[in-house]
Amino acid sequence: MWPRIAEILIGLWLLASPWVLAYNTAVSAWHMNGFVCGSAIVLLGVLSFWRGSKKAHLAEIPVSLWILSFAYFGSAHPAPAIAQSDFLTALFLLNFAIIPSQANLPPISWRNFREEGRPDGRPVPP
Amino acid sequence: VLDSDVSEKMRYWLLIPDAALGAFGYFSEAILGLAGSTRRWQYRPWMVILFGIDVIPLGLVSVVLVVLQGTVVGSWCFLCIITAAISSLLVYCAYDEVWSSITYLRRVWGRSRSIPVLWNAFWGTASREAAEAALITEIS
Repeated sequence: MWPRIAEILIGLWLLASPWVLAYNTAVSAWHMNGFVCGSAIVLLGVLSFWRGSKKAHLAEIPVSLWILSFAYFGSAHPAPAIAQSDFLTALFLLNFAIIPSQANLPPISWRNFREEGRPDGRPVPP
Repeated sequence: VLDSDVSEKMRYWLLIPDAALGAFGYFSEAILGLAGSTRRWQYRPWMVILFGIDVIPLGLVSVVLVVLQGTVVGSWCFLCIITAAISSLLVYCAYDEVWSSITYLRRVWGRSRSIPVLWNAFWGTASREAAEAALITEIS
């Protein structure tokens, strides 16, 4: 489950970063975006720990793509620190979001297949 | 190198400095290298192929960049040479797993001749053809 924990921490950074990197400006779209997207990422990361919503982390992919495009198209050159931070954070998030929660174990489908055994009855190597 | 016109232009296109993107590339290699078990060539070919797409072109590009330093820029950068050497080593370490995955998928295709079965095997769904393709190598 380590990717989920990393995602929750990244979500917390998204929440906090507008107030760290754009503290001297009025509350702007960056603050709103960071708050909404950061909360969504934390929520989806936590939801992935329950069996019923274990695929919730995949929903982080569209959220990351949104953050990525908002940072890219929503800023002029030179990009403010918050835009650069959001851009890089979204890339990291995309990378984590695609990793399955139990990546060390075979996928469910292969686990079931092994329990049923091979058609010819021979034992299946792990 | 860091404050050149090319670097500024890259920053204009990429939003972030290209070095940050490079750091992200190496981080991405580390994450994709750590995820999954040693048998992921069978269980999660998509992850192995993605890892290969990440590692192999990146390693080749960093070698090309070092060659460009010597031929175009005319000076060398010690850290760049070290990273290029490590990247080439990573290509060597990574290619066998990618090759296993491609061989496995080719065997699945050879047995099933069915795009849905191949597609499912790519995303890690079990099937009789996929199991046969994966197990024969281990028995023989």
